Amino acid sequence: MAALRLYSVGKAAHTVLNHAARPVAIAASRTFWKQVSPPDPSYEWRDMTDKAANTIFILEICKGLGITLSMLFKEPATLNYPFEKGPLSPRFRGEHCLRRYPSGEERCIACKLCEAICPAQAITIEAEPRADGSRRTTRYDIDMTKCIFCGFCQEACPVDAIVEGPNFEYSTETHEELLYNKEKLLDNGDRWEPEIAANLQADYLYR
Amino acid sequence: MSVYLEKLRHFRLAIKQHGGIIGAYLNFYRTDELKWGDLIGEDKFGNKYFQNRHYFIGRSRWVQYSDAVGMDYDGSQIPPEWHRWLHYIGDEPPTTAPPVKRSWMVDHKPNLTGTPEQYVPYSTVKPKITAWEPPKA
Amino acid sequence: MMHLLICILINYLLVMVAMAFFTLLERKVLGYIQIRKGPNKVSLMGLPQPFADVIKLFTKEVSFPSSSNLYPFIFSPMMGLALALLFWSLYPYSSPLFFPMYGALLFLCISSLNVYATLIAGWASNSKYALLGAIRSIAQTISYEVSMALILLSALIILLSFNLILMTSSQWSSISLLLPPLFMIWFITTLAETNRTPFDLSEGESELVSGFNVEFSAGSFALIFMAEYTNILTMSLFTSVFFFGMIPLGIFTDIPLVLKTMFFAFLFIWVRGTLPRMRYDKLMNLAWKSFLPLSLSMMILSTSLIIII
Repeated sequence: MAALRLYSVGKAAHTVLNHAARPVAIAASRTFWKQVSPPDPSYEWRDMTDKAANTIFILEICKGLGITLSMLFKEPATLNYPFEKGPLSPRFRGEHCLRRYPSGEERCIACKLCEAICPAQAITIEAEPRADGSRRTTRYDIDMTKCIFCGFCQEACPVDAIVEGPNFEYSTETHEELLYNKEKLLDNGDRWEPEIAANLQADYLYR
Repeated sequence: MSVYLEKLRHFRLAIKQHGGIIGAYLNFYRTDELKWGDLIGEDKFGNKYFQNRHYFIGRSRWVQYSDAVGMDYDGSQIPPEWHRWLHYIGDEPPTTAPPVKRSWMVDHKPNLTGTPEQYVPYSTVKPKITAWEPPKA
Repeated sequence: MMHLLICILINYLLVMVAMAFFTLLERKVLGYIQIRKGPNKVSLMGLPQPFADVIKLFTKEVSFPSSSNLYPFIFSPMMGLALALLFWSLYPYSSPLFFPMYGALLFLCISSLNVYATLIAGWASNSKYALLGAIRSIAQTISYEVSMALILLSALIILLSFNLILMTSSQWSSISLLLPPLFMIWFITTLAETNRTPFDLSEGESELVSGFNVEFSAGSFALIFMAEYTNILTMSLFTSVFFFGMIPLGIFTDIPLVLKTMFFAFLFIWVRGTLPRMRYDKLMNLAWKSFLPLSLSMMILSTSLIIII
């Protein structure tokens, strides 16, 4: 009991001392503060019932379930490829083709601009004068596995010889089948010319 | 209610177009879909092209692959002139706006990878170095 | 004896078929919820897709991590599936072969054992990701196991029986109508028990490197997968047994139970298509700070209800 009293006296003395020391303390007493943590939730009866009701009825979750259920009955946006195909632009950049003039003469004059501009360095060209003296390529190889389909080659071409056609269904089972040579590119051109010509025609105002 | 009646009507039209229940079933098995529409044309490989603007763009034009290919249908079997129409690049099908035909154009071929006719790369230039041939004595 | 064995085998076989088509249903429903079609290319409308998947998975090469504990690694998926199938011997047929007196207790036992399949699978892979995944999902499953047992207890206090067959045949009004909040937390708990979407921390494919099953491939992965989906069907079955009354309809008595089970299985998918994944600390908070007190108070409530009535 005595010890307890001593303790309480000591405690009281501490407070008294503290009050006495206050006027000479250097630090100013705190007059305002900022609360940085989120405010405590209100414990008013009304607010608590509101919160409980929100929690129990999980209204938002039910709304969400309703939305997903309504989506279930919507028409799917799926295209049934290969029977239906998605819209493409006339400027679509697909498989490369080498074009010909209407006479059947190949357009490419081996200026090597496409080879120079190709950022992926996918094009390899070698040129020689032909028997009739005109300058033609003997090798026009495109490594389709290097190509990034940027379309710079067709932009660079002064005679519209190399174009990126509208075909994109040329996936192969082996790598080597994608190392196109000149014959393959010309053959592509001969096959896809009807569509390439029509696409260029559709776009001529903007070229 | 009328919406459902409309759906029922479309279903009946689709079945009618594919030639009765059995034909519709076979077509359904192949394409996983039953649609009805106007026949726009047929290319030289026997693929039939249909259109029905009732469906949204992307689904409003479709192809029914030739019966000759069976279940081995492939997107690359569509020739370029129809390719353009089917991909909505242009609205004019080759039946109304036929492309210019040149003598050097060749027939369309599907993607032949994995078959004996597949493309195999080769060099188009003469080899620059040749093996030494021993001089004949 | 032979007759019994065949009946049990048929039972399990049918459960496997149901599970197979449940995976297809899930893919289709999730597809249509996202305005696309699910798998529709295998044969007619993609209906045999689950069989194609099974054939593919079981013909793949089986590979084992070189540091794995081989036998636990092989047998833990089998254990998982065996336990998941074991539940179905409790199926309350209206004309049952045997009468497990303490079916509800067996249900609790098996569902607690289910954790071990996960634990062994994660540990035996001998990979830190698998181990972490296993710890994650076990912590979750065990936490929810506690509140699940308590919820079940309050349901059993009202039903006054452990026998599932008796329960379904005598339960004319349903507990879900009597105590809707109890049913709600039960359903959420089953979602967490089966590691389904708002709580699928055990295999957050995109954020967390899969889960306890990272090292599994081919057949053993298929077994884990099958166990998981069988568990979902099981939980829907027991939800409808414990919480929904059965109306005797003569020879059609079994049908409402099947329909209810199908509805809850669909609800699992529906919830997966709707809700995003929960944060792990919130998940644990929900289990220990909300569901545990709630289920305890529900137990007191149901006990007093029984005493009053």
